[in-house]
Amino acid sequence: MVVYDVAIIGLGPAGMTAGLFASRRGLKTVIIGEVPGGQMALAHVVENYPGVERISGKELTEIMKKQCEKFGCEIVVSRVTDLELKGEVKKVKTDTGEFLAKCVILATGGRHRKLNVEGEDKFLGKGVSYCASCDGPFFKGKKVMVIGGSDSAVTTALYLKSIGCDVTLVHRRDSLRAEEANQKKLFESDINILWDSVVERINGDEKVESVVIKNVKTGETREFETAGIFIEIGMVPTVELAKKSGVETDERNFIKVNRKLETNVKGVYAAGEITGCIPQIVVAAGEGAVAATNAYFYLKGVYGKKTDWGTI
Amino acid sequence: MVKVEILKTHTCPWCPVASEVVKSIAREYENVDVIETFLETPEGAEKAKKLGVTSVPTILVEGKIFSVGVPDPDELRKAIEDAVVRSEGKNKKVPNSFHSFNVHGKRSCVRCSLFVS
Ligand SMILES: Cc1cc2nc3c(=O)[nH]c(=O)nc-3n(C[C@H](O)[C@H](O)[C@H](O)COP(=O)(O)OP(=O)(O)OC[C@H]3O[C@@H](n4cnc5c(N)ncnc54)[C@H](O)[C@@H]3O)c2cc1C
Repeated sequence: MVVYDVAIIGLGPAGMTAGLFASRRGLKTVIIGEVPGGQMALAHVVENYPGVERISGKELTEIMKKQCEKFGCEIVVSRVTDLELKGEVKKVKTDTGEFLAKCVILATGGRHRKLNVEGEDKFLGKGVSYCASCDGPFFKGKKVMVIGGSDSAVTTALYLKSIGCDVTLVHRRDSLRAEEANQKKLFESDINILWDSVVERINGDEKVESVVIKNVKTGETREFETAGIFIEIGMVPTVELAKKSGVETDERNFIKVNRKLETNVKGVYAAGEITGCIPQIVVAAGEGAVAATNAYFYLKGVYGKKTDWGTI
Repeated sequence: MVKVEILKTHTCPWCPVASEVVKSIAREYENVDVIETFLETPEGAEKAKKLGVTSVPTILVEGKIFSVGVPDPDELRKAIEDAVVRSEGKNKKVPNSFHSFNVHGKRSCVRCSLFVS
């Protein structure tokens, strides 16, 4: 069986950049991931990835994928089901087969945080959504609510507005976390904003019909009619597989790494949102590059030795 | 024939993943027909409206909503096998489902043959 130099878990920007850097170093590299692009594929417009003024997340995914493959990186679209990380040769089990590698880079990113309110599970696919680029078009001409105050929430609200939805943004504080550039666009649009507000309950019969919102400052609750509710309240790191195979996490459940992005397990690195980095494509990509480069130094046995960049 | 239908759009990142899962499971059986319907088409939009579908991917088994999102492989196998029994009678032998490459590694199974050297 082939033993890869590096197996990267995750096909988001962190994983694909790690794949690019590892394969350009001449390492035999495979990336195994379930959703090409990861969360990046959900971004309808990306305007803060340097060098590209404006691009959709889907297009950026295609470019990153092609760029990796150009340098010989193999890409396998599959779900990883188990990891054996102790020992010199690591084992990656997937839905479709097993892979062996000397080094593993974990880049499994995050998945949507749930609101955990009544009606959220019941109406999933019947008005409750975590993906505006998937489900937004079903709500054209209808009232929708977007929950959250981050860049993802604001860009989701703007996207839904652009396709003809009647949008209300619901945020639990009195100011947004999103970048100024995104906030400016939001305030210039006629999207309604409910400040200091949280969702208490999602109501309906067969599908979502209304949402009960509580003002956290006044304690007042009100019911708003809506057909859709798009939840964008951040991500929880996907760390279960890593934890099960002995990788340590911190108190916030992110993978513990040092500056080289090494984990506590020898030969295992982590990059991107699972390390708790700033949740942006450029940062995840940057971490992918750092992890792959350090994996290369590790495999070449140059740790602790002098190089052009000083002692590594 | 058991009909499994994937309702999808061109912009949804999970749709190709769901299609791959459904197709690979369908290949484990002799009599499963997979149909992909893009909801941007007039027929697709009509179907979504009729079924009240507002999320993609949505998977239908024999015309009924089976799951929203990427289906769980084992649950989909079970739904297919139940549908075979329903449509072809209780005495009909359900074709073996090849649970995973790791379990049997049969060359005759499309999924396994990719990985058995
Ligand atoms: C709607 C939205 C809009 C956004 N807009 C922007 C923007 O404009 N600019 C910006 O910079 N950032 C934006 N972001 C944030 C950005 O997309 C993320 O910070 C970035 O994608 C994180 O990259 P990652 O590689 O660490 O993880 P992810 O992108 O989360 O990728 C994780 C990968 O791991 C895979 N994976 C997880 N578990 C397994 C498993 N068991 N087996 C196989 N594969 C697995 C996933 O399928 C995926 O391929 C946006 C996010 C969202 C949701």
